[in-house]
Amino acid sequence: MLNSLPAVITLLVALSMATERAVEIVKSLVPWLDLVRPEPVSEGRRRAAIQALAVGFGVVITYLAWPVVAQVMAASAPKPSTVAALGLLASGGSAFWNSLLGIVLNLKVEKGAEARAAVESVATRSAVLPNPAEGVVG
Amino acid sequence: MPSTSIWTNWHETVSQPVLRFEVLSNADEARSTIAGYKVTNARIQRLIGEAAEKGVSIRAVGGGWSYTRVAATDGIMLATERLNYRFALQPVDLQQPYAPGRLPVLLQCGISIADVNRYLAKRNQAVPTSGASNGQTIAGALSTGTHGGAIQFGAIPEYVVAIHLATAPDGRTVWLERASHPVLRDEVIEALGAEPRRDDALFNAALVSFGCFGIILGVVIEPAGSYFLHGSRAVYKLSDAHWNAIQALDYAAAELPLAKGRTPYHLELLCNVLDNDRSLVTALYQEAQRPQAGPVKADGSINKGDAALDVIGALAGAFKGSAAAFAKVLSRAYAPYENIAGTPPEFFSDTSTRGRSAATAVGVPVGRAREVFEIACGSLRDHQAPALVSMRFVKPTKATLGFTMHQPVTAITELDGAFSTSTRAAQQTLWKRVREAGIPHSFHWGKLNDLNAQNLRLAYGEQRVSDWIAARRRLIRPELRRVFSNPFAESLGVAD
Repeated sequence: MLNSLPAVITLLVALSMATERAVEIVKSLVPWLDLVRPEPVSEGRRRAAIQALAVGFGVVITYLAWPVVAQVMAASAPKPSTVAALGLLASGGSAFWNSLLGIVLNLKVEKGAEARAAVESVATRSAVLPNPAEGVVG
Repeated sequence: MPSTSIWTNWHETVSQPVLRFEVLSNADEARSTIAGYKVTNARIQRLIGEAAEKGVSIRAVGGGWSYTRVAATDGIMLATERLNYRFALQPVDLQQPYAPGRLPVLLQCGISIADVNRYLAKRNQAVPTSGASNGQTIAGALSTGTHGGAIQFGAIPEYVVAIHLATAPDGRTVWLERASHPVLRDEVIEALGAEPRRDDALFNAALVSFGCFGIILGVVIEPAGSYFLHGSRAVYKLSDAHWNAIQALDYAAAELPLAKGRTPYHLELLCNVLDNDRSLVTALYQEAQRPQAGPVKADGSINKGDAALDVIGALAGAFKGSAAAFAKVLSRAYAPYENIAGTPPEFFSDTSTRGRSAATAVGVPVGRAREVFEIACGSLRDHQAPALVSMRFVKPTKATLGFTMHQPVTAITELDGAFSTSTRAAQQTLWKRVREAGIPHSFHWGKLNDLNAQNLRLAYGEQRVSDWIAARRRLIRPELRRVFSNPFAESLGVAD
């Protein structure tokens, strides 16, 4: 699990960055989305709209990037539920995923060192096996 | 409890942290002695006791050949490959008469199939069948129901006639035979420190039991008299007529190379899907005397008898790029040959090829062979996997959970390739489509599969699974069932 986690989080970082970029483009085209409102109700609506936009872009970008996603996730055809889930995760923002990636990579390095110190790698199939002479039972 | 070792299987698909990895050896490795055999067995019983005390499970691992976690546990793993004593059985030891050339032999659990072949050759005997590669130990190959392509015989469990098991840390060991086919006299069994139990249902369940019926100490096999295989591998355009003939077991109509009206002893189909569906057929015929024909060994490092997997394993490291290019290379490596002859071990030799690979095998009744072969080819094509599809045929097994169980002949479709996302995806698609098509099926225990408690019962049927569990409960004391289990068995819902 720990081995595949960095690849998955790196994918989410990439999807998040693409989502953020797309949201920023839309915000620059729609001033209502870009301008912070002094009224709490109006500001709440603006933020909700940006969040919804981010989720929508996250889903669309995940779908468009599916050939890459499939490689990382060992998946085949895109399922709507998987695309929606990844889109939702991607909308969380790249900063969050970047920090998580750092934590996981550090953990992996520590775990690897710990494992190497504690365990010995073993496998069956010796190079040379005995060849005993036949015996009898009776 | 902390792990002290990480065990890796031969094909590098399983990496298992393990509390203790014990390499077993006989005290005298130069001569096979009953005294030495019993000393080793006593040591194994002590290790079972240690596992029980620590509350962990214990498994024997032979060649580490299986692709699945069937042999893996985080408790105690016993490496048995140095336990390779071999004993001749004399007519006086046996309950029934045998022809001199067919006298059974007692083999210690860790002897490899390749070593069995060499030993039997000195006795003018041979194994009736084996896998395409022979690195497995006899106990491991038996426990997973390993098969070859012996269409007139069956799989490895078909020539095992007695199983010597350690089922508890104390008391005598257990000697299992069929009541309908007793082999050793009671005095001989007792001299081996064992207690005879003759029971067909118990024996058939224990044949393919992947470590859940205790630690196998030794087995008695009934060899065949020495024989030769003679045949060809030819490009074969699989037509409707060919499939109809194969599915009807009418080999004369299948236009097999060198047939001359004969039924082959070994039959294998192979399709390199990504090389324009290039198909080959291997048909080998049994001969009592060495026929006038070329030798088995080919130029280069790839032998004629190698299975698809070994060929791919040799090339996988070098060709990680385009699957289509890989397929072309594969076709050149897996070339036709004509009119060659040799002993079974010359065809199916031990392999030193190693590499991360992925293999699966699905057994179905021969009447559904074409359907499954085409599903496998379609799955491979859909995922552009660097792999081959092959099919072999064997007679049905008596083993309760033997995967070659289908009547009247089991057709085994294999999708073997370099370990890659696309190969794994193609295999998963194959399993799913076979299930969706409602085809009776079973999975090789030692190859990749998606068996769980539900899929096991769907594949083998509730009756077989219940019979197997009931037999295990009769043999293993309740407090020791967890000791002879592992996460693989638990995932199948057969551990208690």
